[in-house]
Amino acid sequence: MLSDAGITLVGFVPDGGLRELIERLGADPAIDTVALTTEEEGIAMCVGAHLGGGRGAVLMQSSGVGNCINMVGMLGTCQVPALLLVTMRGQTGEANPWQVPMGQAAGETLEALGVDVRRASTSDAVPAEVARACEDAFGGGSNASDGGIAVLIDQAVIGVKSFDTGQGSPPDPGSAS
Amino acid sequence: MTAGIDRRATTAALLADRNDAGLLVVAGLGAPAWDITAAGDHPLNFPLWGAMGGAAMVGLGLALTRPDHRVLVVTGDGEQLMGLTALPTIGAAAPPNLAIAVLDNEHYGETGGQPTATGSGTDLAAVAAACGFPTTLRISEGDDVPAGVDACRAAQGPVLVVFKVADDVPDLVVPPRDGPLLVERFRAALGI
Repeated sequence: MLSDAGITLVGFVPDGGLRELIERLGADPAIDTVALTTEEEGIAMCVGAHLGGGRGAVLMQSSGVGNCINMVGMLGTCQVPALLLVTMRGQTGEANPWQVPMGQAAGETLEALGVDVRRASTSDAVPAEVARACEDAFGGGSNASDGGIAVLIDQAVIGVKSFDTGQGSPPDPGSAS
Repeated sequence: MTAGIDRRATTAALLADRNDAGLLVVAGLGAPAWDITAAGDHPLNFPLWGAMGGAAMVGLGLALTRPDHRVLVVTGDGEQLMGLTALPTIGAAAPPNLAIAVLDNEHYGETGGQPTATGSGTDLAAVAAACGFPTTLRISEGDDVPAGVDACRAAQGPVLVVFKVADDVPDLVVPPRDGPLLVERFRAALGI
C-alpha cells in the first residue's frame, strides 16, 4: 500500500507491532528503508525526501513521538507532507507502566504541533485509514494537509506485549543468596 | 578570538562552481545558514532556521532521493553534536553522494559563545569514522582546506570533514526564512 501511494523513503525505529511491515518494506524494490537511531531523524529525512521529489514516511512506537517533537514542527512550518505510522503502547491492557505517559500523550502532543492525527482502533480499519492518510498527505486534494499526517494504530490491533517469563513472580531480592 | 580557518572563505570554496556540479546544499541553523547565503543565495540551498540537529538527516533524505546529485550539508559543531545520532544512521545507510562539512568553532556562536564539547575532546571526524564513514578528515590548517573541499565535493561518501574555524562572528547575511518558499524554490529548481 505504501509503495502504491508513491512513498519512496521510509525511516523506522522498530516496534514489535511493526515487525512484519518493516520486513515487507525492506523487500520492496520501490522503497528505500532506513533504520533510524532515533525517531526525530526520520522527520528530517522526510523533509529531504520532499525537497528531492520523493515521499517520506516514518514508523515508530508511541514512545518515539516524544523523541521527535521539535523536528515535527518543521513539517508544518515548511508545509512538507509526510506520513507517520505510530503503533500505540500504554493503552488498555498495557503491562509496562513506563509506557503509559507517552502513550497516553502521543496523540495530543502531535496535534499540539499541528499534525493531523487519525486513529485506527481495529485491524479492519487500518488499511482504509492508512490509504486515506496517504491520499490526504500526498494527493493534493481538498483534504490535503499542510504538514504531516499521523495514523495512530491502537494497541488493541497489535496486541499487548507479554512480560510473562514463565517463571512466576520475580524473586524477592532480599531472599537472593 | 582564537586563530583558525576562515569560515566564510571555506564555505565559498565548498560551493565554488556549484551549478556545473548540480550541488544540492543543506545548512544547519545559525552561522552555517548565514555562511552559505554569504557565498550567494541559491534556490538549491535549504538553510534551516530551526530543527536543530536535523541538517544531516535532511541531507540523507535528499541524497537517497536524488542519487544523481551530490548533496552537501554545511553545519556547525553544536548542531551536529545535537544530531549526533544521525552519524550511525548515515554510516549504515552509506549514501555515496552525501558529504557533511562541519564548521567547528568549538562554540555556540549564536547564543553568546558558550563552549561546545568539541573544545573539550570530542572529534566529530573520529566519531564519523567510527560510524563507518569511508572518508573523514579533520582540517586545522588553512593550507589543508583545499583537501577538505575536494573530499566534500568528490570523495566516496558518506564524507564528514571537520574544519576547525575561527570563533569570530561574521556579519549576518540571512536567507529567506519562509519555509514553504525555501521548499518550493528548491523543488522548482530541480524541475519538480
